Amino acid sequence: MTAAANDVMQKVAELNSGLKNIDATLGTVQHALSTMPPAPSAAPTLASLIAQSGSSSPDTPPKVAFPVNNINGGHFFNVWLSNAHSGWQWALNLPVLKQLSGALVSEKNRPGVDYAAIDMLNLPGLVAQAHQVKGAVTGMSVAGMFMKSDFAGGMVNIMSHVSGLDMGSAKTSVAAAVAITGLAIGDFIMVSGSQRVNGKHDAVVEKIEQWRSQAGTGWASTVKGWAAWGASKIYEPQAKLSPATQQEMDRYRQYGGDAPHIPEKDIPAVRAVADSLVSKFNVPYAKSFESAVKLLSLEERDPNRLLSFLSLRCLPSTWVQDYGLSNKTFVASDILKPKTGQGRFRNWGPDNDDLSALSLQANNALDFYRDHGGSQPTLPLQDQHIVREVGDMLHKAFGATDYQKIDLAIDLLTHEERSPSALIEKLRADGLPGQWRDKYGLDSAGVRLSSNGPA
Amino acid sequence: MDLDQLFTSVRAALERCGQMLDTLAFAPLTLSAQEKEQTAQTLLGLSERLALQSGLALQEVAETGVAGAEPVLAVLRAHAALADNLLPGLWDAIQKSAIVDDFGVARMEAYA
Repeated sequence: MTAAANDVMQKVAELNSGLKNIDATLGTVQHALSTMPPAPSAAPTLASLIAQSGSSSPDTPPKVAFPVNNINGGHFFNVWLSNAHSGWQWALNLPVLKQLSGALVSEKNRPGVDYAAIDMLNLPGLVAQAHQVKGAVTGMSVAGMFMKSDFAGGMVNIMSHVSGLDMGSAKTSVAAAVAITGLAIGDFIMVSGSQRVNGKHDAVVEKIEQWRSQAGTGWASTVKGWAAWGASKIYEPQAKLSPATQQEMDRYRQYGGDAPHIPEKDIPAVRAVADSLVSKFNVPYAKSFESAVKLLSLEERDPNRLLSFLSLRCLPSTWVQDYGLSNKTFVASDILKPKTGQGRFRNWGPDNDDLSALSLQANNALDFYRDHGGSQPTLPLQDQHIVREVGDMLHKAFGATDYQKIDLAIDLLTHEERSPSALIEKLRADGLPGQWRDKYGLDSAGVRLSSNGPA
Repeated sequence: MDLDQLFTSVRAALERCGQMLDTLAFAPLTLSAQEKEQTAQTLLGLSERLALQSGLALQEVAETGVAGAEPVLAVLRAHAALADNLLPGLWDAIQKSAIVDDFGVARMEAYA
């Protein structure tokens, strides 16, 4: 167990111990509820329903059964509904569901979060397909735990009663929606997060556009639409600058003079860049807006593209003095290079085109590692994106994990093929040669790096 | 802790629990599946208690006043205090378990 994991588990143990201590000293909610006055109607009281559910373990929250014949009112229903709403409010605050609810439920359709939830999940059309993916859902431990929670049970109950579905269908639908949506968006965000580190903003945006354009009503299209929407909130959070602002920036770039005036509608985009400069590069707040305007005018006109580059923290060294970035959080790098002839401004981009050779320094480091062994060398930044290209290939084609792919790429470049482009071609054409499987501890079902490294 | 403070605290704890559950589900962490599951179970347990107790406390306050709701409020206060004390530390620990990329940057931005 790592030190960080150890720390997490220690905090979890403290939390569990605290919960048990509260149960021991103050009693559980069930005990407290025994003081409630009887309900005014003939409907079953909350206390009696909780007692019927038979949950007495201090570790298990009381399970609340929904009174099927009493959906329209009564003391218990109101209490239960307030709890369900509280649960929904929480669920809707989870980033994934928040994005979904914002995308799919209009304001006028939100008289109550329960109905909004029904709209959000498009329940009737979902059921048939949800059953087909049940196997995938049951494989997800976190989604499974979510479904065991009281408020997930509340979601199922609401869906069942409002939509008229049987409980099994409602439960499967909720689980499928939560798990698949979470998986689709989470997976894409993780992959695109890695791409963002590579500076491949353009590739991610292209993928989003591709998904967005795949119109359709099927479940797969819907998930892609959600994922594209979620990812676009990360990759394209800001609107493009207006033509008037762009003209002002052109004027400033060509003739200098006063900094461009930014109209009100473009201020959020410029402010977002400025905030990124403040948070990531310690640019003083008072100067951040001016620096952001200059960066947008002189270097990269697309605020979303610029935000992605800033998230790299690996930028051309000239930006330190030109825009007042702190060199404490800054790594000078050749990953981004201006591409000439591709627009009115400098149009920075990752220089991933040339994969033919590693730098002399990297070659020397790999030679030393090959001849003397020891721990893997740390390659210069200018070579790291090349190694990552090879690693990504191993990840996509052979299932290497994020942990393994870079180590494995370095080993293959060290011992098998020093030219990255030739190595990629070889992997693409032939797959992993049989002898590599043994040598590097790989197997056909996926990649497993031997703990002993290459022979 | 007055009622406003209490429910502000409960809401913050629920949001923090949701954020941590989401991070456990989707962020790249060095925790094992078992460690993630154990942590998520504890967080689900705490958040379920907070959600249930706060709903009941509100109902009790509406029906019997603050004094009458005191038994439920006492339990809720204890849970809120526990959450206030321990959740920030747990969140820090989870963040420290984030997998760090080659640039030394933890890829947690999307989950925070």
